[in-house]
Amino acid sequence: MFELISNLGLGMSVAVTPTNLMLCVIGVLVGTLIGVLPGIGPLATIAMLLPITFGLPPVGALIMLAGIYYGSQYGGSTTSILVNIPGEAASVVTTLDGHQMALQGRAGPALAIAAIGSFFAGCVATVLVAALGGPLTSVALLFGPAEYFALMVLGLVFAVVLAKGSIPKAIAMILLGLMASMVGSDIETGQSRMSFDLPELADGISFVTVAMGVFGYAEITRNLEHGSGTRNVINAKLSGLMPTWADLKASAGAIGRGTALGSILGILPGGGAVISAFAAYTFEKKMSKHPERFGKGAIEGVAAPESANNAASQTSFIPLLTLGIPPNAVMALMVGAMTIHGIVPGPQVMTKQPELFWGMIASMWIGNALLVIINLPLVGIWVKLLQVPYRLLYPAILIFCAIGVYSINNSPFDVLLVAFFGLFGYWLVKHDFEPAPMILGFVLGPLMEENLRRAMLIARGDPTTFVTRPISAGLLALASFMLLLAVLPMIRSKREEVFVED
Amino acid sequence: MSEGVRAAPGQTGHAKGGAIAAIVLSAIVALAGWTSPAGGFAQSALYLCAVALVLAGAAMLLLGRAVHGPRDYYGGLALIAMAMFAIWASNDLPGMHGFAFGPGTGPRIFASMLAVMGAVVAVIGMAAEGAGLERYAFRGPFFITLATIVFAFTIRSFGMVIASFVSIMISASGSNESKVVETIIWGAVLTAFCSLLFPYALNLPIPLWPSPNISLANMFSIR
Repeated sequence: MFELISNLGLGMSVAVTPTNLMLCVIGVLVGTLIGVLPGIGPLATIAMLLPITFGLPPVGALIMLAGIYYGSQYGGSTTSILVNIPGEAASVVTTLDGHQMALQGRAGPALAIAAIGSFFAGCVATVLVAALGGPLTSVALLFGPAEYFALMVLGLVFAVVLAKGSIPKAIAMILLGLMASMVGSDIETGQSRMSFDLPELADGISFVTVAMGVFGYAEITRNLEHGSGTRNVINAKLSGLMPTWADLKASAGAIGRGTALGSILGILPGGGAVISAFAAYTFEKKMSKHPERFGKGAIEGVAAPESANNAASQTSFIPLLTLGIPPNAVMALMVGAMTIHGIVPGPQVMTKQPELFWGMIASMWIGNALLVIINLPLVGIWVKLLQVPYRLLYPAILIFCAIGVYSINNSPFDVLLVAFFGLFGYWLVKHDFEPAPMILGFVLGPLMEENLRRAMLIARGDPTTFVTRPISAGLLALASFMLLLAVLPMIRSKREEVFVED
Repeated sequence: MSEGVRAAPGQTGHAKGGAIAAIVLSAIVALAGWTSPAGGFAQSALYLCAVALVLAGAAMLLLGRAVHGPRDYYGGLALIAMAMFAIWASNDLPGMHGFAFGPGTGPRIFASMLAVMGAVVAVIGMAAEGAGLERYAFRGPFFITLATIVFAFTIRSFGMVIASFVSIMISASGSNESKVVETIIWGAVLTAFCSLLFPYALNLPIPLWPSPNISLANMFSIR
């Protein structure tokens, strides 16, 4: 306990230096700014803004990225409440009751309760991350290559099971990501693989180009296709921002339950913000004495999912910081960012770079506080931003992406790659392939191969090592159980379909 | 999304085209498997795919059945093609030696697993009722890609100001809502903003203006 406090103290001392505080503020602001723009979720936002953090020292860069992440998530909730356009998948549920509240002239309380719920969830989750970080790190030190490999398989299986849409397609996307990550130099022999003698590919495909193309560019092309449509921004004055006492009392329980649910789901590999927001909303509706109020502007319907998605987005840092395994696509982007700064995510981060580890955790809390302090008063500006027409918006996004990617290595080739992955992402969308599992596979690929290789080498080529070592066997058993559970009902329904039409 | 969807059910054109594509593809798969020196898992996976697809394709031709989920079917076929491309590209890499993985083992494992999953997706698309193909827009993707390519080829020798402005102009052509004067003004504003943000505020070493030793030979060089 004492250790926890002293660790958090160390973190605070890192996070509240004027520079880092400033970076956190900028991150939150810019994140919200971009996150508010319709159709740009946290993934695209982070991918787009990654390059601007490259010039910073590692601690500062990660603090800023974390800020961008929370900011973009909050921006997403703002648009769901005010315009009924979820800026990102995690705030889809918020539109149900949030927009109804806005239509009833209660946009202010809805936004405020979203911020307050997020802040509370953020506080709890920060303490949880700090408390669980230590013990989990010591568990991680028991892990050998076989266990790491099994854990990554489990993580990927979770991602598949929880992904929306078809399971075979999600698996295929993960494998595509794994395959693409093999391009570049072999870790052991240094031989260049699948690079077609292009020196630009010798180091592999930079994950920023994939993320930017598949998320950023593909989103632009999709939005252009839909045309501008009519965005009916709520123009009602946002007077009465603060929720009433009755509102607070009504949502207190929802915030608590949402936080608990979100914290748990966030830690699970493959989980994260989206699924926990849905779970919290459903749970709250089941718990409520008046479930018929949901969907008609119930404040609990805003409070629960908003707290849950914030708690989850925070606790999903736990597997990343302790085991070095990103549980979802956003965290996969964070791994990429860490690698660029020369940090290998994993248990050694906490022991070797305590100021980075705890500084980042402390800045999570600060970031959440900033969201409440800064963003609520600025709601008016965010609303204005929503009225910027898309025809002006997208050339700006595009040029930021292009310059940003170019600036990483001063390599025009990377810019060409973004264009290619943009088209590829567009194609994926047209065939209902989810790009998020692909990014996860792309980031985990080299790690998986390395651990698989080492495990096999240690076991002298005996693949049974994965099932004879107890931890690894347990993880793999859980993984296959999850997969079976998810696949069985699908096969049954597909069989029925086949029989029906004959 | 909804507007571009073609009617899916009962299109015999899909059935024939699909079957032919499947058979051609499986032939290539079989060939790739034949010539692949790696052996082992990759080879057997490829054979399985090839056999499955040949059988499925033949069955479809014989029964005259339509592809019920073209979106999944063609998506799956494309995945198989990508996997095959990777297997071909990693053909020259040594595989297992003794019990140690070689550089080519990882790529071939992942690629052959992808080929198998691609076949699963394609077979599901063949058998189960699914969504039709979506229509692709041309204008948006074309101008956005073009703008990015032009940026890549001009940034080195022409500097950020020219490269950005030109790319913004091209990308703006991707929307039919863009207006000429507005776009020019907005392009100038954005270019000015980027010219201040990246080289000055973020301190990134990107030249703003055309390089002095520009020549016909190096004008559009990306190296």
